[in-house]
Amino acid sequence: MSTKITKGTVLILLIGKFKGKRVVFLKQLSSGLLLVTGPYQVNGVPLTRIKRKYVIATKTNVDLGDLVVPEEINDKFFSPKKPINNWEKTEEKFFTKKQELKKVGLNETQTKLQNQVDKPVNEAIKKVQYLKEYLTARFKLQKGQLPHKMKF
Amino acid sequence: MTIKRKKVFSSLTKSKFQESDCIKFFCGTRHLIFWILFIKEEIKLFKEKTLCENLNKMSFFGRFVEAGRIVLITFGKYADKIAVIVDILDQNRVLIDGPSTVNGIPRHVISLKWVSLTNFKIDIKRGAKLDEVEKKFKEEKIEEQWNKTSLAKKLKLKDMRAKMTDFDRFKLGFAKSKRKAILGAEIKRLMKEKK
Repeated sequence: MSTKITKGTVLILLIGKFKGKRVVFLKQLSSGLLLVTGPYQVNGVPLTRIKRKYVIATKTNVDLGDLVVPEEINDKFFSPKKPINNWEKTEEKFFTKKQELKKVGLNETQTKLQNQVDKPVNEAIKKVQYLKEYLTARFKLQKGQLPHKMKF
Repeated sequence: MTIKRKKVFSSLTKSKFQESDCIKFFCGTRHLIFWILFIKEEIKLFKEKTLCENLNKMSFFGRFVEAGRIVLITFGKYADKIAVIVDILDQNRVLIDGPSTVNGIPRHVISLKWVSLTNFKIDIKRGAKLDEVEKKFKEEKIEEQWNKTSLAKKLKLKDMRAKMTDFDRFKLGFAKSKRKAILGAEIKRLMKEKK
């Protein structure tokens, strides 16, 4: 029986850069992916999307109350932002060095939204003892622990 | 071959070795003479008690499969719970009861392989009804006595560990690491002092 994922459920990410991190679930996007946040100040995980398949849902829940995720945070918000390379097939361009893809950091709107969403979540986390430490730590399997016998 | 009591007593009085430590008993059948040696004190005790009691004294068993014996169920749906043996069906099976009003374990047949005997016992007759079993169970305060035992405590701990959520597990590990840090610091300080 799988645990039901609701607003505020703590999830354990299993793949990607943040695998092992415990994050807070916000909402399910129209594409079916789950929108989560670290929160960023707690464990360095920003607003991200993941598939339900690559996540372990725990029974721990952060009381988010009436938190409403801004409408701007949808699937388009997460679409890859690469600089457009006008690669015309001319002799001149063939011999010039390839334009390096600049690392795109978060722009102003992204950071603003991140902080906007994280503020109530952080407040809710402070209310429960050890919850912050719990979200900071990464999930690890220790010797003798069998995942199929563990309760999350 | 039977040891005839009259013959035994008569031989005691007639025997040459009456006053020594060893006395010979003469047990005879039609054609065979059978000599059995006993120590004086043992004979006295043997005379006083019944054969069954003597056998029990010699045996190493203290927990018996009997009506009223409290058992710990080790397998199945009701694992790690205690129940009362109400009746014995055959060599391998017994009828047990929670009592159902106390434990929730209904009256049912169980194999002795799925059960382990405890030290506790209540005084009920074979096939006793639920009311009586419940009454005696509560009178003797079996549950309280059982919960005091180390095995009961271990089983409870095991159950708690299995139910721990991810957050609980984290909290436990976190507390352990904090404790270790405190102990470590103290030990280090004491070691320094010693030097």
